[in-house]
Amino acid sequence: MSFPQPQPTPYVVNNYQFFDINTPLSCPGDIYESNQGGHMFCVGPQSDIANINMAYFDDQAAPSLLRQTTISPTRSFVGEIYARNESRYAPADRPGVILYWPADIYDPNFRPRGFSTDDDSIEFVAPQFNVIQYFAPVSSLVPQRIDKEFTFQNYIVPTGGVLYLVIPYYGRKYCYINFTNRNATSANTFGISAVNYAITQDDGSNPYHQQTTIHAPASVSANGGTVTQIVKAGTQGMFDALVFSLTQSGPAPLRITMSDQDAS
Amino acid sequence: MTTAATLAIAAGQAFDNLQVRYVIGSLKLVLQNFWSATIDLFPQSDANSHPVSNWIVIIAAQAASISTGVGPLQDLTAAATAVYKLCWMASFLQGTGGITNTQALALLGAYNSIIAVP
Repeated sequence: MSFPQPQPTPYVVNNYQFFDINTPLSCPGDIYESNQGGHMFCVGPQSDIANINMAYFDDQAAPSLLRQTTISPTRSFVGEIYARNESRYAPADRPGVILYWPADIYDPNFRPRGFSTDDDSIEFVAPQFNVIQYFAPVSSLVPQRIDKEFTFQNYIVPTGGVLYLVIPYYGRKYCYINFTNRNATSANTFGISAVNYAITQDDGSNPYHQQTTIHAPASVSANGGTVTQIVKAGTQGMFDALVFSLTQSGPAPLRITMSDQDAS
Repeated sequence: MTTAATLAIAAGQAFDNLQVRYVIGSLKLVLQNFWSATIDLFPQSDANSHPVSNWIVIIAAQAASISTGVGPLQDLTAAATAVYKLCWMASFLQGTGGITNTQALALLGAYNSIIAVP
């Protein structure tokens, strides 16, 4: 999915019971609209974004007539909302369609502290935005997200530099990370940190992002050295993204499994 | 405050710039001036530009709803977040042809003259 976005009306016309917006974020400012009303709204199973804002037309929400709410993996919105295409949000004087956008912040210009623009590289997994709008009542609504698994094995690491890999982690409460260096001859310096994004000037000398070290970079021996790390919300906290650093191209399987359940 | 050379840079500066407006109690006025100067750049008939105009709708609603003077700190956060996302959306659509360079430059100009300049 990209912009212009798919429209919900063909799904209504063809008797689908739902409109599923399921897309990697194009940018931190993604916003989607629906000119069809719905009976229920929930975060979709594949969403990396945890908190999704909705805006809809409300005659009693003076002076803007725009009412805003948030859905998350722990709270769906159950109740009819109409797209009031004939009415106008004030004061902008635009149709009262339903709007969706991530409440969470994303910043593809983020660079970890110590990042060298000359020597290092960074790769982002764009956060998936998934929201489902139901056109008919359903007997139950399960907003929980799937346990997401990311798997990597080989990497493009700049010579003499560090590759940073950024994985979305919004609202997750548990993560199992398993890294194994299967390169037969070279050690791999592997580290894990976490970030909560801030609105900041990334090209300045002092970006405001909040970084937390989970596993300080350390050499992982060749031919089978392993790092296993558990990240728990109750212990380390909650973060927008996890950042992995490596110094060798592999092979080095990296398995990351994250969940909304804080497994004890 | 600093003016921005691109919309992506403008996004990153949104919080710092609006902070200066907030502490002197002019956040509401700045948001009002900004949305009213930019909404007509993205007409409703131009469906490709809706992601930008939808953000302007939200900023307009914020401007109408927040109090005059120095309001709750959450007003600043909400305004900075909306302007941050608007600038990113416009930057993306400029790069992919969803909006024209003329529209993007006019939006950036409004940002620099209304939000960024003391």
